[in-house]
Amino acid sequence: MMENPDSAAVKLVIAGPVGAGKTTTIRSLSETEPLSTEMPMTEAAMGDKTTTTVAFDFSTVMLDEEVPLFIYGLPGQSRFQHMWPIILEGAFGVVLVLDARDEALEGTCQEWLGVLDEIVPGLPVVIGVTKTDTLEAPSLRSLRSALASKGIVLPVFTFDARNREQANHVIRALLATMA
Amino acid sequence: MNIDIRVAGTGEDLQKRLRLASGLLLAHKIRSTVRDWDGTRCDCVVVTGDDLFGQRVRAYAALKQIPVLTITRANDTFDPATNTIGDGAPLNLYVRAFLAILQAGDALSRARAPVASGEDRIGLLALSRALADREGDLLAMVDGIEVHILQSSGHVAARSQQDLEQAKDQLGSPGWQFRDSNGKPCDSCYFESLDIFMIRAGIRYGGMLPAFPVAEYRLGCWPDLGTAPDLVDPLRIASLVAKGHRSLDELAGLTGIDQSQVSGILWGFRAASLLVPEGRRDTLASRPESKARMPYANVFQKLASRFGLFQKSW
Ligand SMILES: Nc1nc2c(ncn2[C@@H]2O[C@H](COP(=O)(O)OP(=O)(O)OP(=O)(O)O)[C@@H](O)[C@H]2O)c(=O)[nH]1
Ligand SMILES: [Mg+2]
Repeated sequence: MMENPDSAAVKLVIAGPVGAGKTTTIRSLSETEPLSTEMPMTEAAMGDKTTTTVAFDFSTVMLDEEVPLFIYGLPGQSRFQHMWPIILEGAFGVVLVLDARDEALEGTCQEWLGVLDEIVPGLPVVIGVTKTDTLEAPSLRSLRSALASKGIVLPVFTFDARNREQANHVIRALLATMA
Repeated sequence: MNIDIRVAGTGEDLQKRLRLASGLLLAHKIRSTVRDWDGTRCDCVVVTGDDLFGQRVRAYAALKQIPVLTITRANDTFDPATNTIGDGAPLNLYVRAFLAILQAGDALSRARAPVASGEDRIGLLALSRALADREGDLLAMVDGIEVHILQSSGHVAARSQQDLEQAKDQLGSPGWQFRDSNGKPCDSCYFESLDIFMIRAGIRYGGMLPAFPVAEYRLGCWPDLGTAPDLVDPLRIASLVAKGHRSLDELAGLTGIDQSQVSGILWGFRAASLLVPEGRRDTLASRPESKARMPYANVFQKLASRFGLFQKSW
């Protein structure tokens, strides 16, 4: 099992479903290539499979000469949900990365927000919607109105996870909600 | 509004016939003019299919998505599939041809729709007001350029990037006109984010605009600025408005951003429908008490400066 991170660490978590672009986002945010840590899983966690490995992303960005920012990717598959509270422990915020091509985008989003809020109530969250570049005229409208109808007001950004400036801007939005 | 029909090298006789047909369109409550093609935008261009010039104009018009009526010597009928008409076809067939072509585009509804004249002298303000109580899409027109304001999808669209750029240059000027859009812009339109379009306009023309009455609004939606990483100040303004700061003084004081720029950004928010009137309280969920570990102020400062939260947008 992963160790509880140092309680003084400055920690950011990138969450979201499988293939949404979490690793890509972390890579764009990082100055160095992120690490993927392989984890042996217990029998209980895996159901009928006895062994497997899961790669979760980890990277650091130096805020100044002394203070590192730890960036963690939350493994997307729900069967790794038991790890989520551990990874989210002590994080100051989350970027929820969603794939614009997801046909059930609103549902996926609300599910994730629900889970995150259950683990860490009130955790600052921004939503980053990736892969809009693959759609002709991508629209956030239905996602926005789904959130608005629940009274949820948080930044929803479309961005290209491969673009460093845009990935940084998503973090700025997260920080702006906390400023 | 007049339907603008242009003729590319079809000869004197034919031009006369086209003018007669244009006159007959009045019976359908359509005013139209027939003039020589000059390469600019129009509602329909008439070309001869049998010569090289006609073919060139037709190719160019296709590129610019200008509807074309092609004249041939082959017969005296009208073929709506190809918009081809014989040069000896009777006048009523020409009228039918024009009606068919104009119907396919949206020129007709534009010609017939009552056009509200923009009394507002500043395009962005006029636009903002035209959008104020409207859920649907809007067609905004200036200088012969059409910009579809697609609230339904969160885009602005025009026939080309150049059109959109020209429209942006006009957002500080008078002369904008509006009407309902049928929601379907041109087939291969150039799209941009509505939020970014409006907010950039607000920043650009902020100095010309009246002080935004921010106390009357609350933030309904954060702007989507994901693809505009240079726009940082609007993020900071959105954050403060979301937290309930409701005066320009306060917003300017807290951010160090010039008051007229704050106001401009807010006009941009308004035009992008990100602000809702304060009176309209929908379900406003109160977020639970945060259990997140907020970074200490000095750590937050480090994060903010590492990610450039306080850098100037312009
Ligand atoms: N076109 C495009 N491709 C993207 C974008 N973001 C991510 N991708 C691609 O999507 C694929 C999946 O991205 P990853 O970053 O591996 O996704 P992930 O969330 O880490 O996936 P898991 O670790 O399997 O849960 C990669 O091929 C990325 O290059 C984007 O904004 N636009
Ligand atoms: Mg990954």
